[in-house]
Amino acid sequence: MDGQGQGQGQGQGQDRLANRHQARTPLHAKALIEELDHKQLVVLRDGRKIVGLFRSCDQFANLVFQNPYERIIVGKQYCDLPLGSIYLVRGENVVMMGRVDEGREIPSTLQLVSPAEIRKAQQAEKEEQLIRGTMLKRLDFLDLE
Amino acid sequence: MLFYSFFKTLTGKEVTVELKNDLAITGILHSVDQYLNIKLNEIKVVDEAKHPHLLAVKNCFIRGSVVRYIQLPQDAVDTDLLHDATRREARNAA
Repeated sequence: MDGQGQGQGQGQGQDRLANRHQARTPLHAKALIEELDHKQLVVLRDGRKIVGLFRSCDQFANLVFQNPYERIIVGKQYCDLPLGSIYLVRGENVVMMGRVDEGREIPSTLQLVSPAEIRKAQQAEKEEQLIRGTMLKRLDFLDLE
Repeated sequence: MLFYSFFKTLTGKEVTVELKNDLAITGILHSVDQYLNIKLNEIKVVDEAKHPHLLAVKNCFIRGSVVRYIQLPQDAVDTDLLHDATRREARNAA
């Protein structure tokens, strides 16, 4: 920070900050800058999907979102769980980020359910996968091709 | 910076990026940066049924650190040129 913009009104200060951001952002961050102020879906390393208005980023792909929500889809059901107003995702957890096509955001075949229901469905799916996993392990000795 | 330059020559080509979380995405290579972060356009997830979230997404940014493989079109790669460039890079580094 070079101390420019001190004593400015906050709005102007922020403009200046934004301009400086653009002027000094090296080319390698351009890919992300282009996506600013669009609604994005982020896939995290733990498999969670977060949708929100993309507000800021840096060269590590640390990302800031406004009014984000976690989107959970289990089978034919889905639910959007709000995550608060501002959310910063640390870059190392980011797998990918894609611009969400407004209007065709949710496939019409999916049915909106309550957070409680989606949690239940999620739990059931997890248990099913666990059972399938242990079954396969037990059958391992059969040396199935 | 060899592979950065290499991938830059592949922009506009269709590639398939396989990620460490076993997600595979096919798309037109839009851009690449020094970390080999990748931007794809007109993406298609290989196993679409397993990833309903991504049906609404048409372009994406992929962090370089999560990429496992990138499948390239054979005719877009000049292996002799790449070979030469590799030697040149090695010589310059020494």
